[in-house]
Amino acid sequence: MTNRRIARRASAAAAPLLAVGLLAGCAEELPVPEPEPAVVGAVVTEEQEKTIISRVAESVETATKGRKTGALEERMAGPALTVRTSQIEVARKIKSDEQVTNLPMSMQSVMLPSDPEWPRTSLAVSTQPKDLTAPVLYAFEQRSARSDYKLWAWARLLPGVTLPQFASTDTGTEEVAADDGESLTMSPARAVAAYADVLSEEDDSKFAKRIEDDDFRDLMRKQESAQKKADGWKKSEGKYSFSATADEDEGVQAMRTVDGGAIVLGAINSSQVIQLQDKAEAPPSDGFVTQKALFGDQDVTNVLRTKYLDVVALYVPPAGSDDKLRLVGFEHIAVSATNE
Amino acid sequence: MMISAVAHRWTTVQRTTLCWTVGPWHLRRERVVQRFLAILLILAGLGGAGYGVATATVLRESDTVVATATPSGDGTMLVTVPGVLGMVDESVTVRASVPEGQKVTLAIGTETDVLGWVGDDPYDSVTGMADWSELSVVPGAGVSEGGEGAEEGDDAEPAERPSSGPDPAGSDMWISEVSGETSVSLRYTDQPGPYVLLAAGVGRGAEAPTVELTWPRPVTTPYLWPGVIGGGFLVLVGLFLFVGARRKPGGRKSKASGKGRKSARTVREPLEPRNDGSHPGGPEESPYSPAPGEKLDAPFPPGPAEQSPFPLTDEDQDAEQSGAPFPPATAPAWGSAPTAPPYEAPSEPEHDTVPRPAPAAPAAPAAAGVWGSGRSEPTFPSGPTEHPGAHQAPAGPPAPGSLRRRRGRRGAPDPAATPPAAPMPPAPMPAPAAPAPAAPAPAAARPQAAASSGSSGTPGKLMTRRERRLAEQAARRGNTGMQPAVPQQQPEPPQPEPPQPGPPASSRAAAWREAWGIKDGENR
Repeated sequence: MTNRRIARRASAAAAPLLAVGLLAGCAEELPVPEPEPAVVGAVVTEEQEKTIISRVAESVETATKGRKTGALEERMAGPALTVRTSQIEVARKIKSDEQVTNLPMSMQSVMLPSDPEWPRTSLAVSTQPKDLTAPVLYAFEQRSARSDYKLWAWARLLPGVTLPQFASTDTGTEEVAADDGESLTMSPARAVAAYADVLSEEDDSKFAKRIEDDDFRDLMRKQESAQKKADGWKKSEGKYSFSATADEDEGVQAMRTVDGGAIVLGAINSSQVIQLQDKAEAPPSDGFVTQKALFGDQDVTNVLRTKYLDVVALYVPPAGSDDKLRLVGFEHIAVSATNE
Repeated sequence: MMISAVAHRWTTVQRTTLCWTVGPWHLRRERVVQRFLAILLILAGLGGAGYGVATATVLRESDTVVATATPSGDGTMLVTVPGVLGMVDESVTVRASVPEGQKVTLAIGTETDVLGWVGDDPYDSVTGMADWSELSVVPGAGVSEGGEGAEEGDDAEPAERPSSGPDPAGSDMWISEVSGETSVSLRYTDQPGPYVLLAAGVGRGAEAPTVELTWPRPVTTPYLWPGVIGGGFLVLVGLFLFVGARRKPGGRKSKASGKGRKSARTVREPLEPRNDGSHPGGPEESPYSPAPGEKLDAPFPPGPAEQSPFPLTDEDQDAEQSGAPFPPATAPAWGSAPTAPPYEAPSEPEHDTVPRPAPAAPAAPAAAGVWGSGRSEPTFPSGPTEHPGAHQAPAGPPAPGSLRRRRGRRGAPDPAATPPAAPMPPAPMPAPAAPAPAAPAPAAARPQAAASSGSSGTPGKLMTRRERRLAEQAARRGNTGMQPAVPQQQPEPPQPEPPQPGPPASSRAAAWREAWGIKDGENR
């Protein structure tokens, strides 16, 4: 009897167990893609940026060492390409790299794009070089999805300048359209043009009061005054002129800072013209190695025209701010010298 | 003997009638149901266990999931939607193949990067799994970005899309990429973020590659142990039931019907082995069997002697034939079944001398009778062989007497015999004196005797009757729990003693005796 009872209980217990076992074996659901919720953040990871920068650095270094201007295009564009091409040509002529800007590619900080659309821009600041020269601010650009990130421009930071804060590399930094004049006191493109005007016209510029004075302008002024004090300057009726205009073809790169302002990098074409009386001669100065190299074996005339490509890095305050635009870094590199 | 046999038969008859009155039909039906249930359970158990094992072996799922995406033929690129790469497992191996000699590139990047790179070109989108081996592929919707799309200037090849596949290799956006000819593979471990795969056939006349995604899959065997354990449990329960079904009715029938014989036969099997294993009995016998003395005397040899007496047991056979086939014998084999009868018996045997005890005690008398006939010893030893342990304990009081008789004749056995007997103290003292000299021989002889008796004793089929009876009694006593205590004492004490009296020990024995007699404290 007890046996039977046990048996009944056992079978009662066994039945569901068995049933579950048999049923469970049957179906397993097809896996379904479960996309991660779209994260708003940098479209380039820090990891990727490191790779990009190292690739750029490698490419640029290779081209520079080989003095192959053609190879620069691989990882350089815009003002940077122009400048570097000129520098390599100079290096070829003088058989020395002394006039080639050293580009330290170890970064202390990077600003990564958050906007998925192209072109994309990222900024980077190099660590302080051992020779205590200023850190370099770089702008990289990916013009289209199928193109690589390229070094678009660099500018050595002014001594003692502190860059405003940018958003973290996780969230990414907003790019500011060149013509965005609403969020800033001045649109990036206009800011560069304004700075060029001030650089050129000084106090005569209508932007003079909106832009802080800086080392670059000071340098230009000193150059002019020094030139005017040159020997025989008055005797030869020397005329000195300096003009600068924004290079609108190159465009600008602008990235938003935390305070709502922006750091804008732009190119400025500037030219320095020294004109003497007809019979006088204005040879390139030995002190200006680049200029002399660029001038080459042209006949010395009474005119010496030196063209520069300037890269300026400007801080543009957010709209409504009473702050002035200020220069945070620049590069002033002669790219040609002619006798007319 | 006769009386006891009759008594026994009478009781069995009574039981038989009782059982019959209860109703065989009912019993039979119940048995059938029980057996059926038992078999069902066993089958279910085996099935469950088998299934469990099968899930871990034959039915075990593949360690990998391999799914293939076949391009629709439009465009040269194939892109997965976010989540597809990590659909089954975090790590995935991607294999892409294109017609022999063509170039193929695999790249992994964020969805925006990949779609941005693809731009306006036609492509296929892998949206998930169609089944466990096929990925679902639909034409990609690349038109949306067409407005701003045409990032002109790049390669100026948009016009020739169909004829030439752009190569995504080398882009800064890919977190992982590989390219090669004909077939390439790429391992990727899913990362947070909407990462997708871009597979592109590259070059002139390129076509979209066929992509195969392989994920490892943790294969668990959740039903293995539950199946095996549960199945095993069911089998056990089934077996238990089955045995119960067989045994219950069997036990009743043995008493109830003519089937008693059957049961008796079945019983034999278990019994015989016992006899074979009579070694246990042998040793005990040996002390009794006065192997020592016997050997010397020759006439005693228990082994042969026992056999010879068997014919005598014919008497017993008569008894068996007459009826009472000791079903109780089953007791030793099954253990539980016999309970009923034994319980009555055990208590009685020694004291009350009801039916059961009768055989035991009578055995001695019977043996005595046998002796008269010629060689009585055999019968006696046979007794011990059966229930060496058990018998002696209860029979202790009566047995010693008989033993003593023998011993009296042979003289030698005393030392061995005395120890087992209850009256230890007095016996040993006197015995040792005489046996001491003779003892040495027996000590060596005993084992032989035991062995011979054990081996020789078993063959006798005739013996089984008596043995059975005795065994039954032994078993019953065993069930009462009395058995264990006594037998253990018996074998041990005798053994230690023999060595002492041994030949070399004679002097020791003397010393021992002296010690006993004169100064107890010293020796101890």
